[in-house]
Amino acid sequence: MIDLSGMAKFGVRAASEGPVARALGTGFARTTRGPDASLVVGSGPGEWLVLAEQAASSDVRARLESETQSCDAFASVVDLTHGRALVRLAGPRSADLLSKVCSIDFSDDVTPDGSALRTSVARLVTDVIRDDQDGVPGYLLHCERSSGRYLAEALVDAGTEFGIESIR
Amino acid sequence: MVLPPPTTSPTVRENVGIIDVTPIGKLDLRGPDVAKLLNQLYVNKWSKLGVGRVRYGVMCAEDGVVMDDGVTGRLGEDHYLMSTTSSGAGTVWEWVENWLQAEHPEWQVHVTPVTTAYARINVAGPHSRELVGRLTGGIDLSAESFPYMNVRSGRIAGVDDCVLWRIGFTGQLSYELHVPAGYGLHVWEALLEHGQDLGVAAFGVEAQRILRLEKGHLIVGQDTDGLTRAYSAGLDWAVKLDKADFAGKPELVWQHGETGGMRLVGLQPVDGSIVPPEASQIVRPGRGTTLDIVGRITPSRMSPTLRQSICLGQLDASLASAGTEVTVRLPDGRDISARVTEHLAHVDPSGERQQLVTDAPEPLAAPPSPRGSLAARSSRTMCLQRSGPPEGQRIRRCA
Repeated sequence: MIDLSGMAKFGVRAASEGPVARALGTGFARTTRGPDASLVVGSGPGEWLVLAEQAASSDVRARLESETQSCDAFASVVDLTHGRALVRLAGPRSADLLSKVCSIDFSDDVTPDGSALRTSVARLVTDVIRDDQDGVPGYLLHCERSSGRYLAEALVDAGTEFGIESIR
Repeated sequence: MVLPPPTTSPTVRENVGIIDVTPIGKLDLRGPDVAKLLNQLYVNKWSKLGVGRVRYGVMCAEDGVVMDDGVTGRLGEDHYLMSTTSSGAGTVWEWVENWLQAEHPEWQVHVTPVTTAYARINVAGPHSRELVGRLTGGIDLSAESFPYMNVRSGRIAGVDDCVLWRIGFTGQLSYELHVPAGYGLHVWEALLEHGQDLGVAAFGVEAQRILRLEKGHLIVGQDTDGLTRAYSAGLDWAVKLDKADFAGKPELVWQHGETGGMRLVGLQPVDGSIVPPEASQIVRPGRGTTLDIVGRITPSRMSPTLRQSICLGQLDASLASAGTEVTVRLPDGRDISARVTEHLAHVDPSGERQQLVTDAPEPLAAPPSPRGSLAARSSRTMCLQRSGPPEGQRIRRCA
């Protein structure tokens, strides 16, 4: 598990089916990569979460604002970087770990790479994003900043039997 | 109860103090119909709030009972930032979403909770303009350019994307700094470091409570209860019954035509050395030997500014005129007399302190800037935060 809370995070809101949705390239419950290597997450109906490296924050924000404005549709972009916590859980047993604190079926058939959902993790409202890297199963977990440490501790607690390592 | 005068609030009255008010709720509102939403939510008017301006608002539930309050600033043409009470942040967010999703889905408004996205620091006192000015660049803090109830965006102590409000809860010249949360500690330390010669000191909630009581500012939930409609909370000036509609209007129209009920008033014990405990009952003779309860003390403290005890109270409207003497029953059975004051504010009712004009300050030649990456700051902040499982949660520790 690694703390990625320093990554840039933007919330985008617009009609779930419309020009903004087409420009972002993905819809509800799916992810895609943006042109600047950002990860675009369909986090809710008419709601997207865009994650990017901190160094690219200004560029990604400018691109999102430009894209949404050019769509001539009601849309908004809000910088959530400081308001949300983000951790990555990676490894072959990560689904087993998550299954202890979340009632979602994390099998590959139901929750394949590129899927996204908002659910309860350790009884905390959390965006869960399946994001494998180099064939290794991985999940991004995104929640309110003030609950970040709790979520991390709950995951470490649940992952003890799987030999979880916490990397800062 | 006799208490010694506290010593903390003179810092704010005479120099400059800073207090962490981060938990105050914050909602980011965007869209062309935000003013319509605010007009629906609040009892007062919002249509003419200009960009860069701030207004205080009071929300009532549909029964006219005061639900929440706070200031909202207009940061851009279609961009507003709303403050709520700390405890009301979640409720107000749901309330706003309910109005948008269930009542007016045609309105173009996006609401995003950003309470945890900003650290919030109140800088209060006669030297607050000087101190804030040392750390800001590109924001003209002069009284003419940045008057009371205005808001600006800019850089503070080297941190971009901050929001600077000229508002206050203490009755002094004061500013509130919204700082991206990862940089909150950096700005807090910069304020303490660069305000030493101004006598800066941190102050806490108890001192803040005394200051707000001296100023007569309302706290929803302390000066109101689950039955307090807007007119009983001393909010006559805010309620605009000529608005087409707002939450609670029918009940407030009814209350406006009534003469009875309770009113929020300022009270000062005749013996200024006695501080009646909060919730002390205000009584008057009833039938025979009985007493009727006609009110209660909401907050009470010894005022370090006036050197005497001061209170607010909910009082029967028939007794609420300035100068009326009432009887307060203390928990030990003694009765004391207290007099209704002309204003809710015990100190500076005309607001001269918060309108204080001082020289426009010069920013530091080399303003401080945050050190280290945001990633490192986020990790550190997560480590420092207290946390616990949601209520009722049990975590099974595996071997």
